[in-house]
Amino acid sequence: MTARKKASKYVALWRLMTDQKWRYLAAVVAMAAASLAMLVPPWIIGQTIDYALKNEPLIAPAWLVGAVESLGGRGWLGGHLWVCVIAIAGFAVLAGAASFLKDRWAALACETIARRLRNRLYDHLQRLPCAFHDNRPTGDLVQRCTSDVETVKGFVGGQTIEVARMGIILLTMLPFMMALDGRLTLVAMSLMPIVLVASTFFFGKIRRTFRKADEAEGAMTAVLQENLTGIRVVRAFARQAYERDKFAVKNAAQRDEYLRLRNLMAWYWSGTDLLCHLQNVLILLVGGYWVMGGSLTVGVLFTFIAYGNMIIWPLRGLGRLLTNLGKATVSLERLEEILEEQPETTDASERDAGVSSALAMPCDGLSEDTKPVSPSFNGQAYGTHNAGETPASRLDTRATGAIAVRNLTFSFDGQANVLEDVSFDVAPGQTLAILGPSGSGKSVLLHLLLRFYDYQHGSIHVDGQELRDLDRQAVRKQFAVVLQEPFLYSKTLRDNIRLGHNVAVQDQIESAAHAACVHESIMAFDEKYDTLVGERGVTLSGGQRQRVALARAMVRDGTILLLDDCLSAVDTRTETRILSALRTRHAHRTTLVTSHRLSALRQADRILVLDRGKVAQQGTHDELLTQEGLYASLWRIQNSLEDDLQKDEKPLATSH
Amino acid sequence: MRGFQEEEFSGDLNLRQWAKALRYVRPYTRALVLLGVATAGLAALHMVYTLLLRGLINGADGGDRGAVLWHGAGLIVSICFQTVFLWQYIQQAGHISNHVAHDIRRDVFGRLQELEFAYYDRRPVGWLIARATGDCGRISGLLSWGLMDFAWGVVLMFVMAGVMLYVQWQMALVVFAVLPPLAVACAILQRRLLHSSRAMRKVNSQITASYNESLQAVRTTKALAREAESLGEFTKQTDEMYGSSMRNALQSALYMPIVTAVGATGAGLALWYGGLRMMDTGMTLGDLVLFITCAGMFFDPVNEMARVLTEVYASQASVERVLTLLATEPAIRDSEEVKQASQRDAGVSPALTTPCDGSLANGQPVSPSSTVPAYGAHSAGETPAPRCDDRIDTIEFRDVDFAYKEGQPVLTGFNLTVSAGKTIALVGHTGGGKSTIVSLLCRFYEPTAGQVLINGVDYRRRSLLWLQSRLGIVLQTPHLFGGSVRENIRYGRLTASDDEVAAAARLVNAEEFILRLEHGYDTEVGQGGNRLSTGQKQLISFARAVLADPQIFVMDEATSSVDTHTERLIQRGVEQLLKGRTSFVIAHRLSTIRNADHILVIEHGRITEQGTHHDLLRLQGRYHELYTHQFVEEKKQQLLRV
Repeated sequence: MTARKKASKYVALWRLMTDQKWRYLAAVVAMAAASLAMLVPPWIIGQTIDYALKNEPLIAPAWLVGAVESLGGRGWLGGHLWVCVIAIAGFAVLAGAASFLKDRWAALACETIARRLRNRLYDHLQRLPCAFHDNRPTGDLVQRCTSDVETVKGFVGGQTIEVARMGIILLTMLPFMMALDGRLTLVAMSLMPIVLVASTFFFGKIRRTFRKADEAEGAMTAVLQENLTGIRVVRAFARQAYERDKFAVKNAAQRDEYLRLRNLMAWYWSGTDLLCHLQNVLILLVGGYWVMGGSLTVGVLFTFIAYGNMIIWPLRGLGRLLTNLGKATVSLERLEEILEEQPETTDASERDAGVSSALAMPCDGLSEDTKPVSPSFNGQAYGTHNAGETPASRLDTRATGAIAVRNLTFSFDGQANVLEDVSFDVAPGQTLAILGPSGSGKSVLLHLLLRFYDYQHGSIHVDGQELRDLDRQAVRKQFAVVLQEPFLYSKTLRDNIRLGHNVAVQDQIESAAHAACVHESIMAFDEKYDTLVGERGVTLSGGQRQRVALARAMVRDGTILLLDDCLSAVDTRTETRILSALRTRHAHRTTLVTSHRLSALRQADRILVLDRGKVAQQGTHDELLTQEGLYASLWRIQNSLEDDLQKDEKPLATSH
Repeated sequence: MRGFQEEEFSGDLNLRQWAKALRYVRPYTRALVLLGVATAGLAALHMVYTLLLRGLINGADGGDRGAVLWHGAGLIVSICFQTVFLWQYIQQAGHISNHVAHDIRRDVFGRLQELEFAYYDRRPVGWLIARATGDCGRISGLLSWGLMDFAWGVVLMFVMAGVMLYVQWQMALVVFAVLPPLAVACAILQRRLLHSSRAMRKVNSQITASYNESLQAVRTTKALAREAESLGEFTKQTDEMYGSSMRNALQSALYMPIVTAVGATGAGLALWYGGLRMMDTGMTLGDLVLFITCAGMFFDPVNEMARVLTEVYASQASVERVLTLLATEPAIRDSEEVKQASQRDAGVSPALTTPCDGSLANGQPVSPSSTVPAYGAHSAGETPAPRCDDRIDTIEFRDVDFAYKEGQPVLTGFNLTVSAGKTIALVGHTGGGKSTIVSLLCRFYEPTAGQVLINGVDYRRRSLLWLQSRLGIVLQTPHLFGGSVRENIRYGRLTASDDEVAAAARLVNAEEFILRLEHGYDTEVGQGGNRLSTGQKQLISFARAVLADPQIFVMDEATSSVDTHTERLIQRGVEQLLKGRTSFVIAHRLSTIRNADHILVIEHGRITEQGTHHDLLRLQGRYHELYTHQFVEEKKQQLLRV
């Protein structure tokens, strides 16, 4: 089972690469050409020495021997040695050009793969359901999308090519060597297996030491990070000396782990160095004897020395490449884990198809994407292709914003219900305020309207259409939303507001900002509407962020406005101004608002009180005031305040 | 932190900085000498090897069996030495680089412990971590491997040139012809590679930021239905990444072909000229082979030298940043006089108890001259009646001005006197200056003008340790360290026994939940305490503060909402903390505010109203307004909490 799983990982790697097979093929051909061309200069030098300088026969293809003979044989070559120089330089340039082409094609292939992988991950993550994101730490996902992609790229781009290169050098070199001298070829190859085995063995063994060193470094960084983030606590207790000692332990541990690693490395590199040199000396000694005995020429010996160096040294690093193969499969596995997650279905017909297709594609689309359902690599076609089709056109023209919720029940895990049997109606243009203790399901209710989650039972109808039967994106386009913790993108303020409505002009943007009471704050920045938000720009206060997000919602065309406790960081006076601006601008819009502010609740047409996922009360302000319940209690706080103040003033009154 | 831009690299090479960094290598002189020997040995053996090769070929060519044998034996001996030197080289270079990195990190960490908060305000934690990890590694690598790789290149070049000139000077000059183009090619290409890889790194960090943003914004993006647009923006970045990666790949693809082609041309030149010489003057075949080999070998040292120089150039910013950090003197630290006085005391009083500082006159008149001698004295361990001013009786802010940034004053002419045992509550809107007053009291910042007097003496005349070891501070956002619950509480007093830890926890009502944790006091809290809830973290931070048993207690009350039960526990915990201690509380809870002995309403850096709860309510002013608001909020929270 595990073996099969492991095998399937290699298959996944392979599939990632097959798409680029022509580039890889071209790279391999260029690589073969390069290694052939590289073999020629040592051969020319060797043969020149033998033929022109030592009066030995020329070992060369018959046509070349014929050509040289016809030009005048060794005498001519001795007089025209520059021909050899040109040939050597020519072949070196040829080898260089071929090797450049090889690298170019390999880079094109692996960069294309990496770019696709990045884009695909980005798009896939955007389209995964909220339920996925709720349980995943952002840091881990980012780590996978960056360093794991980098590892895979290093593998498909550099390491496979490098392994292939060594094979090709061997394959091309062997015939050359055999043609020159069969016996010396055997000598030249004698220590190679040992180096190869030693290298694989060593890098396999050293993995554990590497991991320990990595861990020690991680522990050191963790202490450092904790110290720096908690620097106020350190100072508060004057614990600098203690912290210094704590860090010293980890710092020394890291140093010592790395020293251990260095020790192993020193043994390995010097040991294999000895082997490689030994191989060369062996060639020299045996070859030297044969030269003396007359069975070998000096030129051939020279050629062999050069060839020996070409192959034996890179062989030492081969073990490292093989170790990296393991790393790449692990990385790929981590990426596949994300890609195998099912994205949000876009409409009802796909919802049913989606389940079966997920099963039909066990390893899912790292393969080229010909199937209609699985996500496309470049993602351009994503979602857009069905926007114009049936589901969207079913929701014709502009909705009027009548909401009918019936017996809505929802739970995240299938056990505890977050919402239970919730039913209510909102007439077009009405404002419904939702009130309830934290955890009563207010936000979830809005999230269900936005189709962030799939509800299990009951129905939500907007203008008579069941939301589940509609395209998710089309549903969301009917809403203008301000979420509880609104997110602003690292763009300019203008762009952030314009995100609500891509064609909004400056006038619309400014009037929305005015209505959201944020225009003046924006004008106070040096760059005004061109101020960049976020890490590289200004940091906005919570209230400013909420108001910008509100402006973004205001420029949007949605029929229904959802405001999820979105003015909590804004002071009461500003809130009143904003609410009245909202009323005048968007009188025709259906609005759902969750809030704890009495002023906001007061202005609603109807109020819905939720308690532990159930509707506890609903009605108008006047109706609810007469009933015992949360709403009435909230209103009574004012009275208890007066009691409290009087209680405090009483002792004073009596003392007078 | 706002708009903090790190300077990616400085323009010019400044070797003086590197020379300064060299002092970190000084403790490892012995290793450095061994390394130097190994380096020189490696370079020399490289050449010896080539010479032996020449001898062996000459012997074989001339049919001299003895010469072949001798040279063969010599070769074996030389490779054995080579192995030993290489081993030594890796061991010593590794030794130096790891130790130097360790030492720099130690100093960086030590310096970070001393720098004032203002330093931290301006730099993100990630930036500081990068200094202590990446930068330190780069510097130590260059000071060991880099230095020696360069030395190896230089020595080898000289040895090669010397041997070649000695064997056949005319031919040596011919082969030298390849050097200038080789050096130029190496230098130019290395530089280019540096630039393109920097571009890659930059795009890479943008891509990382984009992933981050898209994950944080996932709901917003869905709500706005703009997945396609945001992917479009992202593909622009991946396209750019593709572009710069390709540029980098093509540059490095060019590198090897160019230098090997130059090397091969050199070998060809040697063959041509050497062949001619062989025919005219009977130069030996061994000489020819030697020259051909050398021509190809020039690449290595030249390449190494170019590489190291590029790296030095690339790491210039690293060395500057680290050295600057190390050279930054903490703006808030003990003055020389205070330090000398503490040192005198250190011999007597144990380090963790509180050495009495001596703020001895340094020529200036000291406030009440009669008290001066007393400060120099020390408290003798546990004696109940300390001879110096071990107790804090009064705290006074006198005409204090303060600004985080020049031209934006937070406090102006602030005055306040507090006597021992009183609880002072600071109330007012955010940004009014409440936290600043507390930070000044803790001497996390110092007044830009005016004084903070403790027992009538400016606190700058006392040691930081004296003051801060008498303070207990609870921050608004409780920060715990990785480790167990027990270790975290013990942070308040390192010598506390398990029983004392438990007693502290009990006092602030934290024991109940601690015992319900999986391993009780030995439960790991996770990094930054993230396995506990905010309320639990708060209770532990109370226990920690109680264990420290400070004379002055400073608290920034949290506003975060916790469940009713925890809220009640916290409220009682706070009462325990404040009992009988001089305390400064930035208060948010009505109960804390009402129980305070003295309430200060802080607005725009001044006290606008002060008095007891009753007094202030009667004023019907700002306090009344704040209290009313807070009352409604608190009651509402109670109603809306599960």
